[in-house]
Amino acid sequence: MPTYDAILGQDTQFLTVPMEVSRATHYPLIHAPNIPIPIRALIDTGATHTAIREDILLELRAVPIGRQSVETAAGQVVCDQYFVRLAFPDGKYVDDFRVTAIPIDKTVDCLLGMDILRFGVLVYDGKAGKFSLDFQP
Amino acid sequence: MNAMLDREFQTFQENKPNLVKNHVGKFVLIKDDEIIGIFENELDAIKQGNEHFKDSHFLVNEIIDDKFKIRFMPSLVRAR
Repeated sequence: MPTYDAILGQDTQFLTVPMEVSRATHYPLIHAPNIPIPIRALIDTGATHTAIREDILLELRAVPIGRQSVETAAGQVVCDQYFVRLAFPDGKYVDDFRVTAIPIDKTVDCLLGMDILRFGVLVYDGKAGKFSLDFQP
Repeated sequence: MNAMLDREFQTFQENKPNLVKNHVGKFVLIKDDEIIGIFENELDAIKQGNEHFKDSHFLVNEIIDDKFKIRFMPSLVRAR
């Protein structure tokens, strides 16, 4: 099971996973090379869906597939949605996966929401400052 | 936000009450101001869109009842 170090913050720990994002297989439209971008994804059990910073999706030259109203702590915003491929460090990945382009602080690239986490096993050891996240078929 | 989907999103919003009433949980395919179809899953909707519109954009949205909103709660998320 892949294990990661938690990142220490002030009075807290952040659980982040190094991942790669690229354009999805089934809604490419753009015929330019599809070069994966390394991102740091924050595990966020408070998010119903996975979100990525919009500037990263624009750098991918991805084309939006949808648009929805979303609720944030700061209020309701309307956001574009994109189809992407998200790869974990152990080689596992999700493809043709819908993410929402939301305005996140530049301190994090991606919020890994419950739409992905609910398919995995997440074990957090706060005392050791470590966690593991794994997905089995 | 990308202006590409402005027209399709307006069509979605105009038809949302009816879509939610009759097709909640399904996916709608929209091009310009026309609803092309309703699908059980989003890949089917996208395949249909790719076949019909080739290299042009289209919108595929899940038809969500407002009581099951997409939520991002951390303070890391800013309002625009």
